[in-house]
Amino acid sequence: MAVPKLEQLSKSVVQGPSLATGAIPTRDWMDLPVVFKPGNYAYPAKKEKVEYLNSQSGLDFPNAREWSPEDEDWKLPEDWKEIILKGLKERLDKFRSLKIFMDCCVRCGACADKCHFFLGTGDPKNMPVMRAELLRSVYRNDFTLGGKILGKMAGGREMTVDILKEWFMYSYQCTECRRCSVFCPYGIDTAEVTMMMRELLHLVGIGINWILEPVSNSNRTGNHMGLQPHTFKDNVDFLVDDVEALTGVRPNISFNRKGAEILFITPSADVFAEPGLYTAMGYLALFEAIGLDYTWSTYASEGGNFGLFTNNESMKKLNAKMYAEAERLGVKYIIGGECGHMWRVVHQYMNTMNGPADFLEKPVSPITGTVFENASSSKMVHISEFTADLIKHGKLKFDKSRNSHVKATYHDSCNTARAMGLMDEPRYILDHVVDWVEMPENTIREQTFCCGSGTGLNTDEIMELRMRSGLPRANAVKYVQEKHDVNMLSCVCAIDRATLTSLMDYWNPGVSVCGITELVANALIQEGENRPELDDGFRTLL
Amino acid sequence: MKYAFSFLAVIALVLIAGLGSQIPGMPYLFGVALPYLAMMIFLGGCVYRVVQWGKSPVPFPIQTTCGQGKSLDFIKHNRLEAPNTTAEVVARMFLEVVTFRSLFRNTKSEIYDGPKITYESSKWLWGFALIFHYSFLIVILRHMRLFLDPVPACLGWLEFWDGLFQVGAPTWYMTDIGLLAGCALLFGRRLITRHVRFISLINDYFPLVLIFTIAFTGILMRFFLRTDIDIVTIKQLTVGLVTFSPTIGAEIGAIFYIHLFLVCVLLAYFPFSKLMHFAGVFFSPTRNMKNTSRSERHINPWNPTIRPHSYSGYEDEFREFMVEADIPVEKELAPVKDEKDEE
Amino acid sequence: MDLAEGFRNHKDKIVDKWVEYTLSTYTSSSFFIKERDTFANPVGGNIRQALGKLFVLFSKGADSKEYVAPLEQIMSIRSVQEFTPSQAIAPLNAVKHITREVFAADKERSHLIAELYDFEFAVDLALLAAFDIYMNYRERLYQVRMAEVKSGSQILTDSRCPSNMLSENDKGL
Repeated sequence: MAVPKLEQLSKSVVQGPSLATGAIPTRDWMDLPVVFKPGNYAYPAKKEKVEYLNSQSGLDFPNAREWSPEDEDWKLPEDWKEIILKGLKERLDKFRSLKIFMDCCVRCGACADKCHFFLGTGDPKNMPVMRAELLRSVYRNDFTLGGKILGKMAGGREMTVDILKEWFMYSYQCTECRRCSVFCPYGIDTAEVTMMMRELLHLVGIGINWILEPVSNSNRTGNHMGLQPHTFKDNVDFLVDDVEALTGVRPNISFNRKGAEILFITPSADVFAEPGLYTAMGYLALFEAIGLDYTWSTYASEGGNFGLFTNNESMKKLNAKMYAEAERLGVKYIIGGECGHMWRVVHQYMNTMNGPADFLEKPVSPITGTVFENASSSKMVHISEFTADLIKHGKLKFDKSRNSHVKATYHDSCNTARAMGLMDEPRYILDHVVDWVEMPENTIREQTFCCGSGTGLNTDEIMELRMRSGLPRANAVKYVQEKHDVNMLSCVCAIDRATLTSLMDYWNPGVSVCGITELVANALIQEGENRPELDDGFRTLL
Repeated sequence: MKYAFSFLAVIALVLIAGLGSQIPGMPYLFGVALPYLAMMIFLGGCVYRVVQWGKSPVPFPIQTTCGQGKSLDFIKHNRLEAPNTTAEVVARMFLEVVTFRSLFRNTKSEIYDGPKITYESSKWLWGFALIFHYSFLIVILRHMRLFLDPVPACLGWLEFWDGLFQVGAPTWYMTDIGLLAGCALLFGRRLITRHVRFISLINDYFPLVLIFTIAFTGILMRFFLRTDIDIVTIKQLTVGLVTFSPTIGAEIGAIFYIHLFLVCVLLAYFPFSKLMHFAGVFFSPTRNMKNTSRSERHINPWNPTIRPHSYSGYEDEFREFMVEADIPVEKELAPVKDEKDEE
Repeated sequence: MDLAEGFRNHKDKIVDKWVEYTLSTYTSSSFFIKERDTFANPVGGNIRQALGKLFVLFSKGADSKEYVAPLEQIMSIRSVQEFTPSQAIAPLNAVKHITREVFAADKERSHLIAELYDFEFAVDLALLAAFDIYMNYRERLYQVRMAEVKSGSQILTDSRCPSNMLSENDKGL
């Protein structure tokens, strides 16, 4: 009788601890160490970028150095532990959310299978409750009576370097998408916990380059891409040429123009990277069609804000440019382009951090006269709100057949859906310009799945991780691709446009990604247009 | 084993009360002193925790919107899920607290042939939680009979409905069973669902075992071990406790002291444990804030003064390029001066 | 008692063990092996489904082209997990051992072990096909990387030039 050699075979499968297999370990989670290896962590921030940021007023980025997560020694400051505990104390006093979220969790597990990182990687430490528990165990040990007396019995943990490493691993495997907070009976928002862990890590010089380099770029040149003013203008000018070639109408644009009615700010990725630039061409064509009096800014040329993924101070500093530029140029209000995390900042933080914007006026659409009451204080209107209002008032003429090459579906971006409740405006627009279908019910609107690469995790060194965490989203797209022949995944987020493209290329080849405004411009009938048959809309190569 | 430890702890507590109360003189400790102490810890602890929470400000409006926000007239606003007024927030919180609305939304990822993953509604946890919490609430309300003299009529109503099925004598209450079942179901779920077992701590098992044992001893007392239990003496004690003139008349059986002691432990444990979620839920900023952050400015009391990298600094660095690219500048280049310098 | 019937009778058992084996890096406690009720996720679910299909295909001696779809379902996931190529593919092989084990444990059917040649040959074919598929997905992944670089998103950091990514020295900086 043959002797099964499974044991031997299994040795070729199990090598070192890897939680990404879909199995739940039987060991206590506190006893499972993290192991950094190529592909499971994003590169640490470059020394000179950290030094630059540290030199900026209002920012604090200590301990700039060269280091690698794979090294045993992370070159932490000697008193790192006091810094972390003091930082935690300070944040507990500054954020009620943190205190509540540390105290109230009952570990019911309702959040567990809501996280795309957990669903995609199977790593139990990626359950939102577990991610928070990494911090909570330290909180219990040092800040609660039970933890101080009972220690590990009460679920407390003495802070160690290994825990710090664990925080680094798992706070950079969370995209702050807030899906878990929808399902939590106490509204516990893991994004808050992740933000705090990342802030604490920055206190001892632990950060990733894909976030800190854009932050420093944005501070210096006005945008994440590091495009200097003339380059930024050149890029937009190219897009103007392209729009003219495609439609026969040359959009009128201006930069840093004083006295314009509206300042327009969009993520800089839109003017540089595919497929975002088709969305930017869409803005140009749309604004030209309605004759909007607006200006771009090279100083505030970034809608996105990687400061949100860093700490409160950087977020505020980068965001402050928007109002500063609006005031300098003397515009009436600001329109913001399609972006997810930018709108988290604009909707929930900007007014508080950098307001009141008394120098601006209550936003009124110059075309329809609609007053945007919902933005009456922050004075910034979302492009989808603006466009939906134009359509409602019949100010735009469409030929839906110009989008006949597209069968779309709509991906709600985490931030616009769960942080501002912008769900039906884009859908209203889609209804008018394209043939589209919804993805399965529990993967859209407030239950939307993240692209898996938000919060500055859209870097290529963790491509495998991104593909895993994007699996739940890709699965839902695959469903509509097979059932309805969907070939376009539309969204209102710049990070989505970049990262969903990669996600689709891997899991669902044949599905492209676009912004809503690209589809609007595709279908738009402009006055005086001289438009050839565009088989591929604004993507047609002439 | 975390759950085994919880059993041990509760068994130890039972023994302490069961044996301790039999020592002469000790009934006064278990019947009077400890209940007062526990109540003080409970009230003081809860107030302390809530004040501690209240001390930390809410710097940013971080509401989680679970539906369409209020925007344009023709876009239907979801008042409950993205509240715009205080009344709408109150309604949202009310449903959250009373019906566990977020848990009701719960889904479970399941795989069907296809290969399709669907995220089917999963209401088990919601159901267990409802059974547990409502049974607990009604059991507590029924106990008010022991503290109030005369007993208000509404308690009679409650008991009537609770005992509607009229099983056994004395009548079994539905909530007696509900509380036991609720504890058992929530406990079983922690053991059987693999990922929930992975995240569970002693802090999670212990209260369930404790509450189960409290309910169990209560039921024993009411239905099975009635010999030593003189309800009149007990009521005399309990009414005495609330009127601050406690007396222990005749002897009361150990089972009563066990029951009472465990309740005291629960009360004292309460403020320092996750059980504070009953108060915390009201403070949760993702649920109790209005989605009006763009129409009303929320104030952050510690808003730091941080200026952006200034426009003038930016223009100084890039002025040449900007002029060359026909981008308007605040300060023109001064080429003449440069020539002079060279001369 | 013929082989086909043996496969039919033991299908669930074999597939269960196979899935459990494939998903487990850690030995699961026996208390929780009731597979049907375990927590399902896209990783676990896709693998469970694909292995179920593969077993049916192996046992009825289907054309090896039919293996491709279920194999892709598995390999697309395993090629982005933290496995070496051999680790990614190894669990496929396990079904041979598991089947023998299950048949051996069943006295009435232990004689069928001698007849497993075709079945095991089918597994070998699938293993070879899986290697191709694994490579396809790895290549696709690198193409995705390159496309991302070309699209311009990479300009966010200094690593603009694709060859930069090859530089070992760069990763610690």
